[in-house]
Amino acid sequence: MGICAAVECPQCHKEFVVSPSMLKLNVDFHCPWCNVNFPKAQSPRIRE
Amino acid sequence: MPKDLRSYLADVHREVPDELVCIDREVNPAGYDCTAIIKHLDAAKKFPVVVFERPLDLHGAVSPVKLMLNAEISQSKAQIALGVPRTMSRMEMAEECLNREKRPIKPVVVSRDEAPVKQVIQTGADVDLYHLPCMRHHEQDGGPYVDMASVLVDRHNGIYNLSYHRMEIKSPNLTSMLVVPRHAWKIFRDYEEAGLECPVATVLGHHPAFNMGAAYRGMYEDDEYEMIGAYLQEPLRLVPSETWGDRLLVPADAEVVIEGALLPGKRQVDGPFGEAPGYLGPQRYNDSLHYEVRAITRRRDAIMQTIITPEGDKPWLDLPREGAYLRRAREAVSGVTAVCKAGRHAHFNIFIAMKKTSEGDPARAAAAVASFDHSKNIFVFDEDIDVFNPADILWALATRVQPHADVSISPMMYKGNELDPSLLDEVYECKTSIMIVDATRPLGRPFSPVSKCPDDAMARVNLEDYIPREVLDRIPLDRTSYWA
Repeated sequence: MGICAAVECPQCHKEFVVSPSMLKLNVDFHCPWCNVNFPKAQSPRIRE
Repeated sequence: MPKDLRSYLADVHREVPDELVCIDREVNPAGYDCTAIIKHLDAAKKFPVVVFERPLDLHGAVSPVKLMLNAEISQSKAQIALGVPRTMSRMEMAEECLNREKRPIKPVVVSRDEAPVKQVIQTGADVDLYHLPCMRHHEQDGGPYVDMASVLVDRHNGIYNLSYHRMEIKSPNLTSMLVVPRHAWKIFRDYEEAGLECPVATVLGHHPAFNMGAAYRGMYEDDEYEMIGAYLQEPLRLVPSETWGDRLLVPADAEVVIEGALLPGKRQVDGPFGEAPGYLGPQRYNDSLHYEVRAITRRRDAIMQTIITPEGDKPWLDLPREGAYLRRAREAVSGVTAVCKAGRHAHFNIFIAMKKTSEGDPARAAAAVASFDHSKNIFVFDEDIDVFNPADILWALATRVQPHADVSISPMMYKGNELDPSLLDEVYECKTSIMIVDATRPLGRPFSPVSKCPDDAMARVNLEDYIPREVLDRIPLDRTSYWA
């Protein structure tokens, strides 16, 4: 849980932190701000 | 009467009645009401046990279950929980925990009729986590969470293991459960590799000594229900679970127990969640298990517990660890007098006090505690330094350390702790470097004595002989002093 990446939600455009290991998986992210699920490809920005 | 949360609250009410606060105004735990109240209290350096009498559940209705926080969040509460004198020092409390752990007490199994936790039983379609007053603890948490101790049992030897895991409420009968690679992970993976469901239960409320015993850090082979009995100083009463019967025994005197199965081959997205070091643990998947809830049992007037990351101390979690660290340090160097890893400032910092007899003693003691993955920055002091006082620690670092000689930094080769936000590597290659700082005075040459008032003068002069008590009482605590 140490190192993290930051993912921008395509709906609310807020950022939240994820494990970098999730970036290598075919798993939808869950936005904690607006409660939507979305695949990596839909995120406007991912920072590592 | 067996010890339970009710007996503890009675003890608190008797011994420190002003530190038990019941709030009967409606609160919304999922809307951060409870978090804000606790954080305001933290900021005022007040740590009462707080019982929310009318919390809303996740359906928005007043829950039939009350919510409690801060049961063990200060040293005085931990003293009451352990049943030790209020004059016992922190180090003595850690040694008391060690001594109890040397004498585990086997649990006893009682019938369903004798188990208060079976007063209300919900299984099948009646299972609904949303009727519980589950909290959103921190901004950006992935959802409402429960975060108390979960119980797993090794399927080969029947040894019980308890540990704390964050569990995000996903639906009325589903949570995630984040499990890092320690004992619980080992148990689960054994079931998973055999294609089997892993029995699990989560205890949402019990006597604080139960919660402290559940934080025990010892050998995998140690049965942790027996360790909890040691902390309670009486056999823990157990009862067969609804889901698994005798295969998974659960505490009979708990407030609320969630039962279910960790499904093999399935994972859940979990997080973020505010973790103990004070930072958000990122959203995860690979180590976030699929917890299918199959039963909820509780007392009719249950009080559910949850934990929120404290601004300061968390003795219920740190005392068992301090005992473990003290034991290991003393195995290496018998002159170790105290070990502190209490409080947010000490989460990956370890402070050791010792009476050294060799210049190599500090490094040996540091190497011993370095075997724990919470040890990253290890500081060793002489016995005159109060390692529970940050002012003392910083003073010793300022005046007894020459960095070029007294600071050792290792390569990044030790297994790190997954909660450390400073880690530079992924969880499965989770490595850290460690630092050892020797802040002890040298043995082989003179070192300036600490300037102080002679002991006999301190003993001879009684303050009230010079300043009347009524004047002394009017002098306010000066909070402009940095360490007040």
